[in-house]
Amino acid sequence: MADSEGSAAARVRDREILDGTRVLGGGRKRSWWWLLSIAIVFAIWQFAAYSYDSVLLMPPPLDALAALWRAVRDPEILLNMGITIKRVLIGFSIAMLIGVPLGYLMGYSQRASAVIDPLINTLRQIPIMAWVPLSIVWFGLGDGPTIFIIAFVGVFAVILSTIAGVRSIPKDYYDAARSMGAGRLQILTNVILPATVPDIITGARLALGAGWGSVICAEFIATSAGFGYVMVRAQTQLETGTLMALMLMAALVGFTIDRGLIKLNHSLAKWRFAE
Amino acid sequence: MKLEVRGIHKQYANAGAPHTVLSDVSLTVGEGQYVTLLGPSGCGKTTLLNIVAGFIAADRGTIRVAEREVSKPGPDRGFIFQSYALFPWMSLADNVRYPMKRQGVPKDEREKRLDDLLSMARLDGKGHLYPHQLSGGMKQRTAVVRALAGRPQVLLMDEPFGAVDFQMRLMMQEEMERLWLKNRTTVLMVTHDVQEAIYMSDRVIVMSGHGGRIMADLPIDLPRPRERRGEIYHQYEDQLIDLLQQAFVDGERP
Repeated sequence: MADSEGSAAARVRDREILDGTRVLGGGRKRSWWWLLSIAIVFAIWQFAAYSYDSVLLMPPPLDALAALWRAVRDPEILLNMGITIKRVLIGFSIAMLIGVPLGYLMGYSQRASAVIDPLINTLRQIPIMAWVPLSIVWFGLGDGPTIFIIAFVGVFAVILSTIAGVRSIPKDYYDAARSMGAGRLQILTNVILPATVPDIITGARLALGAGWGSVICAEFIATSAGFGYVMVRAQTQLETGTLMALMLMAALVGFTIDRGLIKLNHSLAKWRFAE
Repeated sequence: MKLEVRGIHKQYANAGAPHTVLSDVSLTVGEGQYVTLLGPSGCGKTTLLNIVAGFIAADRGTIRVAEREVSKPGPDRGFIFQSYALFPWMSLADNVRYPMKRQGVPKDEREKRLDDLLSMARLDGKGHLYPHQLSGGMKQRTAVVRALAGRPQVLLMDEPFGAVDFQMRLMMQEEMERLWLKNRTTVLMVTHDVQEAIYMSDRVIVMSGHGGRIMADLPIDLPRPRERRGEIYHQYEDQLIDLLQQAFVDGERP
């Protein structure tokens, strides 16, 4: 038996490490060591604030936390956060709509891959932020360039993960399906789609992460609304505490989005996590 | 004749030079017979099985299943893979239901057959488990009943006890014989293991190590359920080991 699945326990462990649902070295119990690492960060931060003794350069952590508490209740900041999240979701959806079919095509057909691959690999080498000026020329200021940037940075991760997913399907699965009476369409819906769900979700996580990372940067330049814009405003108004609070907020939102996708993976590919 | 293989010829281009894998191979498997293809690795036995299954096209020759010529894979030939190829995203029960769904077996009938198959394979109450939660033996039994679920005319097996340890292999063979004695499907199995061939088969077909020819066709006349002992068993063993050695020497000769 060429057991491609490995032992069940090892597989679940690998998945957990990949998904970050397992704290390394922490065993099966929920570990509280992360509290210690947060405490260390705050201690260093507090010490730095004490040494600089400047609210402008390095406000102490408690000031930043107080600013965070104000920020999460500030309707204007929340509105701008909403604008940014909307842009991310639209751009991400475009990346999925283009990336998944293209990934299937390239994963399934060597010829399609040979044609499209050089194109993708060339475009992929251009740093994403280098697209910002051109995207402003094309789409003007506002939603256009930001959505373009999010879709563009995400689509490669989706394509590459989907290709990897399709190519890792063992040939035996196709033969098995055919010998049990499946036609071409059924091989697509009964074999290729379910087998690639976990890889597509991996691609989606990478795309959302990259999108969230670039959109704020794009908003520094290309818009007069959105979370990145609020951050630049806090900077120009010398509100460093607020700025740090906004950074923390960006981290929390990114973290929440990622957790959401991990949850989605667990429900769409629950066969991988059954113990 | 349930399965008829006539004049199968297959060449592969091997670094420009054509390499003959199967040359004019013919054999028949009678209704309800358990036949094994035995030979050293590289003798073309797996290629032949894949051609019978329709996974690979032959250059020449015909395959007939129950008097009907076939060239593509189909549910008339159930296939048991060495890797089992159970779909990991389907539960055990859904894996076994799959061929029945593809053939449009009505739901009531499907569930009834599923229950029968699971209890035949001693998998009752395990239907909800996913393949990675199953032991090696349970996976193998699932693969067997999944192949049987579509009521194939012929069951094809590619070293189904291939990569497990010795003890496990003996257990699986016994389990397979038990399952087979319950429904006597026509079987063509590939193996390189002499004891396995004798234990399982009504007939052993020995293939030569080179040139893709059949060297011998040996009926195994032992009562079932079989035992791995006795004078006749060991005579068959000696005979097949001699044949295999000859097959191997054939393969070494350029």
